[in-house]
Amino acid sequence: MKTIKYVGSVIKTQDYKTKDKELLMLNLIKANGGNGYYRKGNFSTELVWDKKSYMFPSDNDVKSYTRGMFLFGMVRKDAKAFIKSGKTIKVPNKYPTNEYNDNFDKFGFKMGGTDLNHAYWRIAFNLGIISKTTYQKGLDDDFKVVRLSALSTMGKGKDYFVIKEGKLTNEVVKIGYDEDMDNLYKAIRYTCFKYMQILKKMLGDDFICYRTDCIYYVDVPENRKMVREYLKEQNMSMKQLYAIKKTPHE
Amino acid sequence: MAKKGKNINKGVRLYNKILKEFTKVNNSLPEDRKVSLADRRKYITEVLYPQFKGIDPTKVGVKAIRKGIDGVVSSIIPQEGCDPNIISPSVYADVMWFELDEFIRDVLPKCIFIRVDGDSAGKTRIFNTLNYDYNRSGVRKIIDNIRDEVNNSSSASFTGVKKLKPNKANDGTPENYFIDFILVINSVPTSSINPISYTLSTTQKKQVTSVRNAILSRVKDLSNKKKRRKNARKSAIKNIGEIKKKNKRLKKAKSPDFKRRLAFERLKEFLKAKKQLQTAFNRGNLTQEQFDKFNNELDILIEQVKKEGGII
Repeated sequence: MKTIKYVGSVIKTQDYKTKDKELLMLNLIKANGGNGYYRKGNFSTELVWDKKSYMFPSDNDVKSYTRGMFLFGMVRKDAKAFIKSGKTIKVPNKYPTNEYNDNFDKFGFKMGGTDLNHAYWRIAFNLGIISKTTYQKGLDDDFKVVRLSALSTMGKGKDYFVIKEGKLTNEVVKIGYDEDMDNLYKAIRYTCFKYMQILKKMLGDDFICYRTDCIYYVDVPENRKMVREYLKEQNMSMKQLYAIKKTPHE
Repeated sequence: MAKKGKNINKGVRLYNKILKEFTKVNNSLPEDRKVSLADRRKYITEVLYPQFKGIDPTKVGVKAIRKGIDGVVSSIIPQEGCDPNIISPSVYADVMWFELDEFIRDVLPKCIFIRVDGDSAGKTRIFNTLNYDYNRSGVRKIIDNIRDEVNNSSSASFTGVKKLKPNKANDGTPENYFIDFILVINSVPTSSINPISYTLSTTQKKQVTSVRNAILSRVKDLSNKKKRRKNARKSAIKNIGEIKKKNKRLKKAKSPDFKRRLAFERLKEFLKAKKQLQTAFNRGNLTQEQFDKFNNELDILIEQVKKEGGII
């Protein structure tokens, strides 16, 4: 797949249009035999025509999304400054996103869980990738999707279908991929999984499972305390999940 | 009876003579070198007229005037993008009806032929953007009609379609083409959007990029200008709101120290609001009407405070 690293070489200006204009613009590019790129995302569709990008927001949760658009810029700016400052982060080993204790046999115990609050966002702040201002601005509950998108898309680049002489082709181009930025996101995710792995080892046989940023274990006060203290040491914010009784499958 | 024009000042006659010659020369120039009437007048006032000032107009020869005009014309840098064939259609694909005037004036090259087709709202003649005037070109009439038709909403826009002038050959001559701005209502164009096609030569293809980049940078400038205007309006409203808030708090405050502090803060807000308003107006981010409106609101607030015996 062809990769274009510098977005500016493909997009000079960006213009937001209403969703109903999408078809008109596609018809216009077809009628003029223009060249460009096209992509459909979860939150918007983008048409790049001769270095001018037209964005058509979709109907899904557009309000909170557009309200939080500023976070994308802030995160990218902070991440770029982080890379420029020469600071480096060693990307931790890759552990699974979800893990279950297949040998668990302590049935009849209550199950408890600890969930990390805005885990990736907090880790990004703890690692120094995003500034305090950015961190605080993104804490609004409405921005959950936006802050995750802002972190996951930095450096990722976007895949576009190529439009040649007005015709949409199957050729795909990746625009805006930046390896250093992409590694920062990896570091954030893998740090979260590393915490879960460490907690898994600490809990030993009492460990039930973990799913991304939430760990489940046999709910006894010692375990709760241990998990809480470890996460506090890592400067993470968390909430304790209510206990449910674990019974064997029938 | 005295002959008509006999009493005309010699200076005016000389000026008119130069202007007449300049117009003749201008008409024979290629599109990318043509000079607008306003610019022609400017050149005459600044360069040509002083050369012949004080000489009897009858004694100033056409040859001498032409020599001066040629000097001026040769110093003018030819404009880029005077050929609709080399302008990327992406730049004029969608222009909101309320932005059309600025788009023609500030974004399009000042040397191409265009037409505005507002369907039932009216249609202009094919005119050159060089001498574009919102009123005289007939664009204002169309925009006013659209404003009424769409009830000031943003459901109407214009899309540009490259067309061939009547009875002209599709041979690549820039003057033979024009951009027709067709009205689009609720994303449905009111007439055909199929442009006339012409295969560009290699040299023309090379020009496309630089012309497109120049136009896109003007698009960017225009959108920044709009943002600045919006921000100026927003801060004026915000500043007035802040003062009103301070007034309310002052009325509720009981402690004299607190009252004094609030009054001082309000004074600072007043000064800030006035200063920002003036700066925004000077920079052209507020219209005279907007400036007067906000300024009046501030003055009323000041009068109120004065009546209540506050510090101002």
